[in-house]
Amino acid sequence: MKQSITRRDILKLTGSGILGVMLSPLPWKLLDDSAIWTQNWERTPKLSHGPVTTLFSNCTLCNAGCGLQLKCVEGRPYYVSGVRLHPFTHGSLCARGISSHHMAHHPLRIIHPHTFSGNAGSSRMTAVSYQDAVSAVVQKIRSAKGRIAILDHQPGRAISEVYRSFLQETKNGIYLTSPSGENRTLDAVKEMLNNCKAELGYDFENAKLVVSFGAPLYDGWGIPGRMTALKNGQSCKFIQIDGDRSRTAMQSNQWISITPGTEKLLALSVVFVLLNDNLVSQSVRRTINDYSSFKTAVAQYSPEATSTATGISAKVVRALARELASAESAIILSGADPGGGPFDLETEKIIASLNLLIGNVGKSGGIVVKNNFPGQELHTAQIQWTSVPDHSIEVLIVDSSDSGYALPWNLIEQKLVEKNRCIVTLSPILNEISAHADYLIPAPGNFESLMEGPAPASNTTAVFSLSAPVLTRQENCVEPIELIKELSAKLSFALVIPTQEGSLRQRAETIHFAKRGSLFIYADQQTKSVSDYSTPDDLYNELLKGALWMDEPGKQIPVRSMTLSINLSPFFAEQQGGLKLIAYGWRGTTSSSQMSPIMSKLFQESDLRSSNGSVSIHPETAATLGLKKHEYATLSTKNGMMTVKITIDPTVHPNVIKASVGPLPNGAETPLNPAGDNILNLCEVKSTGTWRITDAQLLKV
Amino acid sequence: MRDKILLLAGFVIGSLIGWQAFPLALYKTEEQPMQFNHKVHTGEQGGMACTDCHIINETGRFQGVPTIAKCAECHAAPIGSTKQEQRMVDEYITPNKQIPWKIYSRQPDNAFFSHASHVTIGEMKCEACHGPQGSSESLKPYKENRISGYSRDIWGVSISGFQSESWQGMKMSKCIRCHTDRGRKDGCIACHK
Repeated sequence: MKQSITRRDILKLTGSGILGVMLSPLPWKLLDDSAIWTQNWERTPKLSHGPVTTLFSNCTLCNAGCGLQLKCVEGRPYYVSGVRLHPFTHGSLCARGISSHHMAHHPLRIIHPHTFSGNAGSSRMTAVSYQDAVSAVVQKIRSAKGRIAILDHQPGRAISEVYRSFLQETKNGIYLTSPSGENRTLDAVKEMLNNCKAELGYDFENAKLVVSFGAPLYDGWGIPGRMTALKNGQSCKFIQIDGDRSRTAMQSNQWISITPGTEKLLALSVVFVLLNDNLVSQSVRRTINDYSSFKTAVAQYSPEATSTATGISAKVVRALARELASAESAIILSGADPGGGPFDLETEKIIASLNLLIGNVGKSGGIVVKNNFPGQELHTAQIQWTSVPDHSIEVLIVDSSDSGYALPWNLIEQKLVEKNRCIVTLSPILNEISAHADYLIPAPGNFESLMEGPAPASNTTAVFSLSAPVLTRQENCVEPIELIKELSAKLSFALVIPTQEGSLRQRAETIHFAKRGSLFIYADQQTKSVSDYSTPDDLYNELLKGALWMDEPGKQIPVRSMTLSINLSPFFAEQQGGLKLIAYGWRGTTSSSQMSPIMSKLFQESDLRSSNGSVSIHPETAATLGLKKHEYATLSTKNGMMTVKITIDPTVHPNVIKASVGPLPNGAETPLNPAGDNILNLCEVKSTGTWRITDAQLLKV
Repeated sequence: MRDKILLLAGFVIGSLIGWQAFPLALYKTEEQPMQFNHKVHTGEQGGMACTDCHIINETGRFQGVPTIAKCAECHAAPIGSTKQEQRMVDEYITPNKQIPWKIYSRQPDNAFFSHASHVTIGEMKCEACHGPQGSSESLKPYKENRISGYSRDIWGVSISGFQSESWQGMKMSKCIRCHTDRGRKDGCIACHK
């Protein structure tokens, strides 16, 4: 009997056929191959294949200035690692360093000058010619009634001297540097040493005890490789004073948990014990010009009086003071969290004074004097942000370098005149600060131009290094020194400004002339004395191939006179009230910094670093607010609000909202719309120049 | 009964598409530019080791497939009288032209693999990943995945992904398994620079 094929038969055949296909490797193999296919699109940059060459250079992404080894194919670096026997980094690099070769190809790379129109948060970029931008800035400088300022994120370079000379010509110039950094305690010590002109550094290698008031020593601080080597060496005891169990607190020998915002009280009570238990030697006392007034000022801050506020028992404070006094050599340094910013100057000074009171300044294993860079015996003092009158800066030029530390736009805004101001930023990449500029001038990207390696403030000697160009420079990019040269010429300033190469050759010549120090050569991992180089050109060329010049250690002179001059302001009132927002961050992920999107994606997907928009609160706080882990809430301060993701952390103090400033979540790097979607913008910048603690509210969404 | 036959037929057809037709359609077969006998080189006659030609140089870098200069060290003039030998000398060695070998084990650009670390430090045998290539008498045809562009050897001989030999397949899962078995706790950045 003939059977016709029905629709039902076709459906059965097709259905079972699909089942057969689904149970074969076809679906998942197609998925796998399609995923790989997406990696091989024409527009995806491809690595060349060919012989590998090795180059040596120095990282310029933050102030650490680590030595780099670049593996290149056809002249393009594809792999970056540390220099194994580098005297400071010991072969280590941070996550930004190992991805530094990505930065020239960053999706937010700027290769044309731009102007911005509209308000921050809704601004639009428009391409403009470089000459038009320069003419507009020149006109603005000529007509400016307010101050002309240059913000240099990496002071101490040859270009820094050019900036200072330029500002001197403007008559009303201000030279600014990042408000945060590892130099805060050192600057405070210098101030108390009657504004001494010598540069100072931390001699961690010979220290027996290091007490850190919130400085993230094991989390990107200073030269990360140096700090890692110190930790691994275990010859020094590290005590971390932190409000929560931070990465550094976890890895330190001792963690003292403190109520955030009461670091000044703890420092004062340690000072109290040192002074009242006769732990300050007679020789040190004799050098303090205002000893009696200082002792009177701290009289009310006994450990017993401060323990309730700090959350630290009097016994622990006394033990800490005694340990400091009895240590063979000790260093006490303060915060400057890369996201949370510095302490106020008063707190910095009290913490810094501990170094002086225990007699560990100008001594091995303490804060040591280093020689100034040859030929620069006197530096023009830079101005602290707090010393700049509000609404006084009319023209602000922002250097293209990066300190790695946060600089809230609110702080800059506070110092700018309200109308007719002009902000010029030099930057290879669009970042939070450059998004506020009137003119954005593209600077050469990483490895695209000859650059000077930064000089880390925490070092015990002056250093000099170069980063030679490896990649072809983008056509419209402008070196900062070229811009200053052009401005100077158009403003008819009597300045002779060399080229970038010229300025760096001058530095090499100065070192060669001084015949000081030695070079650590990266290629053969050997050290060679400066006097072994017959000409300055030989020295320069060696530096260009990858080397680090290190000065001789400075001569340590005992402190003969110091003025502590600490006028204590009322304190306890600040600690009262509801929830406090405390920002924190990881060096190189905020403000003028950008990081490789590959790293920010890695951090976001792995939770290795909390992204901006993630906050941690104590379980009690969470219970009170009815919040659970991974729920969303609205975080608001008087500066605005944003939606945040909740993490519960029992080591965070109750009533504290610990919020990550960076890295930004992957895909959110575009900072053209920064208002309201960045923790840093919610932080309140106080008159003391800090933004560490802000009154905040947290409401369940 | 008819229903069962239909269902079975559909299932069989689907399976045949997935297991037989799909691999045939997916892979494009190409011959190597010329033949090469590993066994002659590594056996009793040649007595060479893998690393005599696939060199890890003094800087620790693996140089992969040998260049024509390496071949010329022994074959500047033809050894023997085979057509392949004569062709190699005439077409590649004499004009100093590289042989455009198709690489069975080429990995994506975003995967960094150090032969030096695995062979020298990890003391792994070449055969652990490449199989008995060293004793092969001829080069098998190169099968290129039409979608991903990579060799079939990366996925492995069996389209199912389950391979009969431990050296078959060079996917990331295999790297992870081997590292885990050896107690190596490497992060993403170890291979993806």
